[in-house]
Order: sequence, then C-alpha cells, then structure tokens
Amino acid sequence: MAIAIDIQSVSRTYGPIKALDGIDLSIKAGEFFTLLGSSGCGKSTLLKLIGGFDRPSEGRILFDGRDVIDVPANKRPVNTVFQSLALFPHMTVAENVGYGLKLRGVSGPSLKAKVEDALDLVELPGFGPRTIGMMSGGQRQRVALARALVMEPGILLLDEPLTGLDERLRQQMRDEFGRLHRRTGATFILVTHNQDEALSLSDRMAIMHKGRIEQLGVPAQFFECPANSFVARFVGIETLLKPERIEMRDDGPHAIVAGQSLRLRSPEASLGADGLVAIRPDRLRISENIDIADLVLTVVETTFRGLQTDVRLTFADGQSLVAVVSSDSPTATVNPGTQVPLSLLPDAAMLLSGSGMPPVA
Amino acid sequence: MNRRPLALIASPLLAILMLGVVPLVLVLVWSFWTWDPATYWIKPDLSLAGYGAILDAGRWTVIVSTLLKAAGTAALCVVLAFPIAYAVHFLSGPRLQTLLLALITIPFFTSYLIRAFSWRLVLGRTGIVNTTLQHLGLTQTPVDWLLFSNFAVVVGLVASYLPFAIFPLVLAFRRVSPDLMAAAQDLGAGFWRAVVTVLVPLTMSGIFAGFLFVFVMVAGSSTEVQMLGGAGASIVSVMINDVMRVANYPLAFAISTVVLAVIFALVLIGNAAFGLASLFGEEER
Amino acid sequence: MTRRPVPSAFASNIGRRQILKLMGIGGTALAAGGLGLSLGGRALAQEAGTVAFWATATLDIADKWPEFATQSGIAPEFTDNGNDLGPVIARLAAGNANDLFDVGGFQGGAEKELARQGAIVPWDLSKIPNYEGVWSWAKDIAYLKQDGKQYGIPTVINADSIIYRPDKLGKIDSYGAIFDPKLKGRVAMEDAWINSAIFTAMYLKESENQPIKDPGNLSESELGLVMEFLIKHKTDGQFRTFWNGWEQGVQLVADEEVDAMTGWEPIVYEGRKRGLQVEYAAPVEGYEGWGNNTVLLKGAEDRGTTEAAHRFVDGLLGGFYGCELGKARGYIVPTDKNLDYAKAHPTEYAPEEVEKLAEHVKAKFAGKVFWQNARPDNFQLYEEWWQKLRNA
Repeated sequence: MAIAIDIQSVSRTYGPIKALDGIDLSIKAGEFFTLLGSSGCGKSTLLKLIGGFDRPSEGRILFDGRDVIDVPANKRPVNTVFQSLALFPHMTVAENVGYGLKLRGVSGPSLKAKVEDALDLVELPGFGPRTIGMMSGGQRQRVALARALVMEPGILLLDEPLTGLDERLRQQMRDEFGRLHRRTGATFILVTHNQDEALSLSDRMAIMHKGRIEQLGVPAQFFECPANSFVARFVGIETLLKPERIEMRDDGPHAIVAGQSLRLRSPEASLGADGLVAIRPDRLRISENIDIADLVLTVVETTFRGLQTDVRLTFADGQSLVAVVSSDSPTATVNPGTQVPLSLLPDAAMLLSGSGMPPVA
Repeated sequence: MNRRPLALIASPLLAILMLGVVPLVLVLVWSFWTWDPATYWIKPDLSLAGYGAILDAGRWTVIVSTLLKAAGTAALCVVLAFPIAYAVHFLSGPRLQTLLLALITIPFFTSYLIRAFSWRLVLGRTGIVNTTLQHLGLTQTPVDWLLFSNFAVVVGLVASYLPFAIFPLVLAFRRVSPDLMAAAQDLGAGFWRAVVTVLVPLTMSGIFAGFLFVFVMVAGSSTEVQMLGGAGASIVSVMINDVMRVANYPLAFAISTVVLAVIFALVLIGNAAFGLASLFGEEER
Repeated sequence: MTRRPVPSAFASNIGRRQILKLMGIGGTALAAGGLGLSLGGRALAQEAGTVAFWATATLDIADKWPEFATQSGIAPEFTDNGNDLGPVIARLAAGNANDLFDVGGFQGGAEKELARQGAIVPWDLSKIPNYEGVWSWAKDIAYLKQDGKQYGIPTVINADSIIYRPDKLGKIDSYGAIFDPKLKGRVAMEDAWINSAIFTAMYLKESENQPIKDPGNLSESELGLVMEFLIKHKTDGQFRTFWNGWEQGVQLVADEEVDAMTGWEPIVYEGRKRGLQVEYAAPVEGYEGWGNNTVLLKGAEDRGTTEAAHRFVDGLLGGFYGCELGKARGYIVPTDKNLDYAKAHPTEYAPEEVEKLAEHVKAKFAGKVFWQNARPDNFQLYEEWWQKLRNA
C-alpha cells in the first residue's frame, strides 16, 4: 500500500534559476516525512516532481524502485492536498470527493458509500450535498483531505495545507493528519514553512535551503544537533554566539564568550572559521546561587508572553541571549541592568560548524 | 438622501437611456406604424404590415440564415478561442501574455473593410490558396468555392470577430486557478478529461459571453457577406439596407425588432444559465 | 444600391458609403434619427452669395470649390446626401432637409416624386444662360421636366455597359454574354436592382423581343418577367457574385474572378492601368444612360435664395466645373463650355483631353440609350423582387 520514494541526484532549473540542486533523498514506505523551509527553498518544486506536475532537469525519481519520471500525474499513485486546496467550486462536496473515484469507474451505491466513508473519516458526515461556497475554511480543508484520501493513495502530498487557518483549527488539523496517517498507513509528505508542524508531525524531516537539503533526520536531532546556524534558527534556536576561542578542558570543550566560559556538548568540537555557539533556550536556568552559576549576565529587557516571559540578557561584549522563565518567577519582573546568574543544563550549548551536514541517524 | 451619488449615476444613466433604450423603443414602436407615400415617412396608423412583409419574398429565410450564420460563427470562434485563451493564461508568462494579447488585438487596428477585402485576394481564383494548391498539384483548375461562398463568408467572419471571443475567455480563465487543473489530473483525469470536467464548466460565463459577442457582431455584420458571399448573398443588415433604400421603414424596423428580440432572449436565457455577471467576480476558490 | 462615387482620380478608397452600410441593425435606428437631425448646410450658407448644396458625392469637387466660388461669385457649401434616394426623399418630404439646403444633386428619376411632394420647385431657365450650351440630347432626358416645367438640370452624365476581357472572350457586343451558359460562373452583375434590372430588361426587350416598354420603369408584369429571368440564371450558378462598390468591381476584373460583368466605365480604365486587356462593350441593346441632376429645393424659394441657386447652377454648367470633374473622376458635364474653358486655360486642363472625353461620351449617346431610373413607379416592388433573387 504505502510506497517508498527514492530521489536520486535530482535537479530542476528554470532558466538561470536552480530551484533544486542535486537532491538525494530516500523516503521510507509509510513514513510521515516533512520538507521544511522558507518560500523559494525548493520544497514545493520537489513536491511537484513527486506529484508528476513537473519533470526534473536531471536525476531520477523511483517509487518502490520503479522510475516514474515518464509517468504523468494522473497515472501516479499519488494524491495531493494543494495549498490552495483547489476544490472544484462548481461541484458539491460529494462531487469533489467522488471526482477521482468516478474517473476510476466507481459508480452507483459503491461510489456513494466510499464518498460517505471518506467524509466520515474527516468528520464531515452528511456534508456531501453542500456546495463548496457553503463550507468554512476548516471544512474545506477536510474536504480536500477526503478528496485525496478517498483515492487510497500510496503517497499523500500535503502542500502547506494549514496556511490560512487560525491557530485553533491549525492545531486540530495537525492532530487530524497524525490520526489519518496512522489510519491509512500511506506515505505522507508534508511541505511547510512552519517548524512546529514539522516537528510535531514528522517521523523524519528535511530542512531545505536554496534548492539543497541542509539537514535530514528525526525531529529531535534538529534541536540536539543542528547542522548549522541556518538549521538552528529554523528550528527556533535564536541564540547564536560568536566565541572568542574554544578551550579543551578536562570536562570537555568550552567556548569563551566575553570572558565567560560555556561548556560545549560536542566532545569532538573544534573551532571552525565561522563556528558559532548555539544556546538552546529550553536548557538555560536562572540560578539561585551566583557562586555555582555558569554565567552571569545583565538583563536588557523582559517580554511578557503569558505563561512564560522572555528575559533578554547580554554579555559584556554586547552579544545577547534569551532565557525563558515562568511568568510567576521573580526573574520575570527583574529590572533591566540587574545581574543575573545562569546555569546551563547538559547539552545547552553546542558548537555549529557553520555549514555541512552531521552524520544522519 | 445623499444627493452626490445620485448625481454621479445620473449622467451615465441618462446616456444609456438616450443611446440605448430610446432608439430601441423607437424601433419597436415605429415597426407598427404605416409607411405614408404622401410624406415618404411613417404615420401612426397601427399595422402589422411590417411583420407581415417579413413572410414575403423569403425575407424570413434571411433572418433564419443570419441567426444560423451567427450561431455557427460564434460556436466556431469559441472553439478556436478556447485553446488560445488557454495558452495565454496557462502557458505564458506575464510578458508573453501581454505580447499575445497585443497580437490578438491587432485585427482591431486594421479596418474590417480592408480585412474582409483581403480575403478576396487570398481565397480568389488567383489567390494564395489556389496558387498554392495548383503548385502542389492538388488541383488543376482553381477551386471556385473558396471565394464567393458561405465558406468564404464564415472564414471572413471568424477572422474578424475571433478576438471578441478570446477576450471574455481570457477574462474567465483568469478566475480559474491552475491548481484546479492540477487537482483534476492529480485525481486521475487526463488532460482532456480535466478540460471537459473542470475548465469548461468554470469558464462557461466566458464561453457564453464570447459566443454572445460574436453572435451579436455577426447578426449586425454585412461587409463579409457582401464582399465574400456568392451572387446576391444576404444577411439581415444587407436586407435592412435594401429595405431602407426604398423607404419601407416599418419593414426595416420590424426586421430589426425580430432580430433584437432574438438577441435579447439569448442574453436573458444565457445570463440565467451561465451568469454573465460572474465574469467580473473574484477568483473561484 | 444606387451608384456610389468613383473615387477621385480612381484612387483606391473604401468609402464612407460602405461604412454607412455597415451600420446594420443599429444603423436603422440611427438613420431614422438622422432624418430629423441638422447637419449644417443652410446654417453655414446664410450669408449672401452662398448656396447649400446637398448632393451625391459624385458631384463634389472638394478643394476646388473655393476656385469655383471665385469664378461664379457663389460659394457653395457641399453636403453629401448619402446617395440613397429613399432617405433623401423622406428627409425632404418629412424631415428638415428643406430648412437646411437650397440645391439638391440627385440621381435621375426622383424628380417626379419630389415635384409631386412639393419638395422641389421649377428652375427659371432664363436665369441660367449656360443651359443653352447643354447638349440637346441631355436636355431631352425625360425626368427633367414634369408638366412642362423644368425641375432638373443635367449636371453629370454617362452611359454604362459591359466590362470584358477580349483576350478571353473575343469581341462582345451584347448583354447576352452575361447570360451565356458558356460563361457560367465567370460573369457578374452589380448588387443593385437600379442597374441590374434595367440591363436585363434591355437585353430581354432588344434581343429576345420580350414585351417590355420602358426598361427603366418596369410594370409589375414586366418586372416579374425580368426578375424571373435573373433568378433562373442565378440559381443556375451563372454569376460568380454580385459586386458592391468601386473597389470590389475593380478587384473582380483585376484578379480574373470574372471575364465579363456589367459595370461602370472607370473600372475599365483602372483595369488597363493594372496592365489588363479590358474593353467596354458597345452592346447592340444599347447603353444604360444615367445622370445626376440638380434640383431647386422648395426651401430656397421660402428663404429667397433662388437667385443665388440659379447662379450656382449656371456656374456648374460654366466650363470650369466640367473640366475639373472630368479631370478628377472622368465624368462629363454635358456641355461644350468645358472645351471652351480648357482652351482658354490650357495650363490647367488639356483641351484635347477634355475634347476626347466629350467625344467619347457623345459617341455612346449617339446610339441607343435607356435611362437609369432611380425611382421607378414600382420601386418597392423592385426591392421585393431583389430579395427573392437574393434568396433564390
């Protein structure tokens, strides 16, 4: 049922523009795989190539080992939930969902039954006779999903499917994707620019940038071991410090920033030319005791964010980092200029090489 | 009530009234009057003589053949305009799109008299088509039916009025997201199936508008028939001119009224079925 | 359907006339509205010594009118009347044309109807000294006089027959060629009953001894005879097409679409200019004579501008106008004054050319001539038959 995808040295150029630059990627059958990146990174182009809406300039694409480059979109075992949803506005919900089945020759009661099942699956029972214009944004999303899923595809492509939905619906649909993935067992490929979606849904994901894959792996790896500053920023590690030097000490490598020492996670770290130190905000703690603190920094400002408060702290050389504290802690209301002791939990600081990929898990 | 908006719509309203409604009402009313040999004009003796005369001398056959010609040409224009609009919308970038639309507009810049006339030079006994056919050995003597025939008339009409079908279709295509075609294909439809099940229904307002524009233009045309048609070939406009020359105004008005009634009926039916107004609405989602 | 002007110096020019024809359905309403609209004319010609001249475009000498004014002392304001007699008569009878114009220049045949309507008044020939110089056979055109009074002054005259290709057909001297089955699909006539019906009637009367009295004014039964004959040939595929207007006529000959067709003589000149061997036949059945006559509108009398109108028409017959019209369009004003003027002004108009043109037209009129009639008694029946022909 589920289909494995092999993408081998695939490039796609549009005139002088290289939208995809030598992509090698294997997606396992039944995997929930996410392509994460900002607009123009090539993720949608890659999706089009998998869907059969475009041809690569170079390279091969294999489904379960079979080259599909010459197979047109309508003959591929792939269905897509488009970013625009692309529901047919001149058809009812049921006609939309039944469109593909009808082309397959399904008709009569079995068509009706399958369409109803699909609508049940996306929790829109009985919505069949409605027109698309009568449906809300979230409901349309579900119709689009039902329309794709009813085809029982080996591969389901989701192209930014949550764009344009409000936060609550977004969360709801995200759960829905997970549920449907488990239920159908198909290979899901999600394209998104939203790291939360990627991190919460994916079995594995890839971050793309300028037509290349920057990092590939299970979501946790992107936090624990971001390949470079681009990836680090993309997964939400905002704090990137430029160290004066790296020192090897007994307990491992340390980065020296404005005279203060930060213990680095990576045991084999050595300072590259553009090496930066990434600090995971979730592994910083405001410490009670200034004597056992790893760092002492000066508060610049605090930003209230509901349950949590961001505290921006600065080093002597002006570089700064953000610590997240509970809004009811005393630090949340500390005055700018105050000196605050910080402790680093294990693996809070890591040295980035600035480019290149870490070994894939 | 605020007077400014009222003043704003008053002048276009008046213009429509004066330029559109008043002449039409006059044509309708005068079609029931009687020609007066004493004044060479018409007098308000109500009569159906004008309408009765339509049944004489085969005049009604001209009306029928005009409507058939108009419908046939309009259908042909739409069939030709559809792929052109498709290419303009889906296959070309913004710059190429502008260029294509400019090329389509070019027929508007040459006089339609000259355009129709030049078909005589192309389709005639010594025209390009015949000389080519003879050169290729496909025929010994020139093919006569190419010119001064209904074939030539339809060629001339299509060439003249094709842009009137293309522009509403381009407008209609603008409202169809390319994703919809992709979605149809994604769900298993081949290209043609996608065109028939998605593109055609969604551009129906444009198809109808294009059809209607061409239909109306052909119903009011005379040049192509006069220049390219066979001996004495007629069309409503030619007949009306013939009738006007002998001052038979009620008959001329009656013919006009019948044709206008058909066109109005077509507009009303078409609008009810295809919603012309939606042509100017926002993109389908 | 009536004669459209040959363009000045035969220059190619798809004209205003056809534009009018194109107005089609909407045009009906517009034309009807136009009957009541002021188009200038009298308003422009209010000052003494001016005349509002409402005529077919054939009579226009355009930028030469100022010179005409200098010579005759009358400044005409020319307005094109569109040449279709139906609307013209309606505007005179029921519209405001008599408020606007002093002198009309119309195709021959409408005088009777216009006089009956009281739309025109007789000329006083004693105030037109140049009338004496008009060729006598031109003075004899039947339409000019009604009840012994002079309503029309012949201003332009010519005679039409068949344009043909002697290289293909040899010499042609009968309209029979037009109806000869051997020439099936290789002949044409004009898309105008005003000319095509009379040609056919002339042929039937003269060569087939059919009982037709006046080919220019057919009775109901004569018209049926003539039109049935035409319809039979049309349905047999005899005619390649019916032509409309100058350019189309020229093209039919120039591009060898037809070998013979009834039509205007200038088409022959144009064909020759394009290197074709084209002749104008002198048919045994005779020529179709046609004239544009000037008439005095009732409005001139009401406004007291008849003196100026008479001087204006006298000027038209004075020589200069005839020379200019002959030079520009090849049309002749039927008077020897043209030659006198050319002899007196040889640098402007070559006397031998003027004489040649005059002799040529005179020669045509030396034989049999049937006069074109723009308004036969059964004119609405003509139209009805023409529709039957179209739809046959």
